[in-house]
Amino acid sequence: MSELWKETMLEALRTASQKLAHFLPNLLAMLSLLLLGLVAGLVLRGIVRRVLRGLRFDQLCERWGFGQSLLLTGMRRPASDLVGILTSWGVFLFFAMVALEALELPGTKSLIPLVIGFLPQTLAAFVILVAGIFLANFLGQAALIAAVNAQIPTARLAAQGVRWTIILFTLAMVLTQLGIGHSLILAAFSITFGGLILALAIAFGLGGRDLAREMIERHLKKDQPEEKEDEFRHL
Amino acid sequence: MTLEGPEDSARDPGPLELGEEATRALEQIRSADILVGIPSYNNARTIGHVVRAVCAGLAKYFPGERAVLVNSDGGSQDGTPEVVRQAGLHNYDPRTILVAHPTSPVHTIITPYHGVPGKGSAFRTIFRIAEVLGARACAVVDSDLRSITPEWVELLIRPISEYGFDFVAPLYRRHKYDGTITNSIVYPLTRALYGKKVRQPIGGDFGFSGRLAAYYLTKDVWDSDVARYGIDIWMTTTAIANGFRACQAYLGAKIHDPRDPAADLTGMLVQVVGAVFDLMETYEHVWAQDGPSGEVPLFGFQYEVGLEPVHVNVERMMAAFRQGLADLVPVWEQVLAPQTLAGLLALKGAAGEEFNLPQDLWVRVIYDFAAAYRQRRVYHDHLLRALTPLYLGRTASFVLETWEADAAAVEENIEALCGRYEALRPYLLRAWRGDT
Repeated sequence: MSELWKETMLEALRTASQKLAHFLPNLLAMLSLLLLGLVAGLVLRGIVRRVLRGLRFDQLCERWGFGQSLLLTGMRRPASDLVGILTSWGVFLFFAMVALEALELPGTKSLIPLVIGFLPQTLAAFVILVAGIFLANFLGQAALIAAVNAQIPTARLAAQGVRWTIILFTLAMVLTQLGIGHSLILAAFSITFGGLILALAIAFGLGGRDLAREMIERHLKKDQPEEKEDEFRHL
Repeated sequence: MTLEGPEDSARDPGPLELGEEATRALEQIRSADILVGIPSYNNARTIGHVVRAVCAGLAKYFPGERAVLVNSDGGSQDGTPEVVRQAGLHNYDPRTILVAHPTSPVHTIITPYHGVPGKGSAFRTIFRIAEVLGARACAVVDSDLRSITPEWVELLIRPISEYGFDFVAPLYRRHKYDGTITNSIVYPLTRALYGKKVRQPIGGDFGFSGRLAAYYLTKDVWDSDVARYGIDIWMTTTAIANGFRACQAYLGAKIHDPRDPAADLTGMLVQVVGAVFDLMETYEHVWAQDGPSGEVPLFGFQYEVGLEPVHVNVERMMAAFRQGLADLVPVWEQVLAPQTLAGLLALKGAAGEEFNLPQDLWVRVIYDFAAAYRQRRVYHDHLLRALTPLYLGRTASFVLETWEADAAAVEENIEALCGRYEALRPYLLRAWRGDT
């Protein structure tokens, strides 16, 4: 009995050590690849940044209006920095995928073809997301300033409405692009957006009834002057 | 004279193509000594008076000179060109100017302008016609003026044709609350930057030499705000920053055709202040050198004029400022220095006659906006639009400060503001270079 137990234990240890001996080099290879990816990413980031600065890329972006567009998305870095960071992350992710394959774990073999196959949709979704956030911030800020200058009391609410409508649109488009819950998102978005518009229409209809009446009355009774306007010229 | 600078290396936009009618007229006229331009857009009600005043002025003061009147129209739908044609045919009634000497007829060119719709594009066409005709002295006057007299033509032209000046800026008597963008931003800032006390840098009625017109045409600015309301400050700044000889001419009262003066205040502010900030970037090498401001020669006999009282709604201006404080702080935070913003936030509870946006704080606001514009901290259009509530706050404050004041006291107030702009130049330089 003790011989059998001993044999079984030794066999298990032998198998484990064989597996470990087979896995350790893979693990080391993975760690090395991750480290290499990190270093390559950082080096490439520096190179890209320097080259772009040498080519006066930031100034070109300012001239074309991209610099200000980045500001509106909340990015405080120059465009050359941003391209550098994106490059380093791209390189690192590529090395990370190769590293995962090096582990030879079941399921990781088809990872690279799968990721490469999914890359176009992911890139398209990323571009839509960035453009959507940019547009939401840009139009939100424009709406806020315009509403304040028009002295609309609910200026901030109107601006947030513009911003979140565009963000909702963007998220729906991003998820559709990624193929996640296509029909569910379409239905959810239609219900939410339709409901929102209906709610706004009812709110405006009920809340603005008196205002609308006043405006029509004012328009029809032009002989009754409203609050007197300024009469001086600003220029 | 400094005719070389970074801006001079800008692309020459090339000669402007003129319309068929203008080209035919130019072939007939061939050359001219004096040219007066009138930009217009739906000004049928007032332009007849302006054309008659100009023709009378040319006949009375420049009888022996070959003179041309150019109407550069933006596609009026109310028959403006026809009114100009009729007024141009009859020129003037000799009894109105009491002349007995023979006078040359004034040729009239009526032409549509091309490019971005606006006063600047209309002026570009006038500059081009002046260049083609080889005019020595030119003037431009607004088409909605009710107070123009034949003397304006002499006052705008004579300093150029006889005294060798290149640029004549107007000097008017205006109501103390008229021209608040001029009084609170454009005049003091231009004076602090370029060292010339040109009191009405965006007056709209100017005289200029033929060579200055040709110089204007070499600039590639006709797709920017210069093509719109920005043209006036651009003409003035380009002339003084490039060392052209500038003077002023006293024209008396300036009375326009009445129309909603508050119409698109933000649009005006964006175009004028945007043009001023753009010019600050172009002429940084000129204004960054320190120096006190100097007087500019003045032509014309000064006299007082009676001005009609105007209504000012101070409460609404303060309400606009308060709403800005409530809603626009996230935008202003990106533009203003922390101490400037703190100064504005301290005004949150102020109301009625207690309200006061002091001159020092206002100057810092303008200098912070200029620096943020240069450093592209906020999208330009948003930045300039976000200035409106602050401008209205300062205007309300100015009205309260000068409610009981006469014209002389108001001028003293503006003079004090100019002093603050000049004293805070080091602050501007630090903010401009990002040293704060």
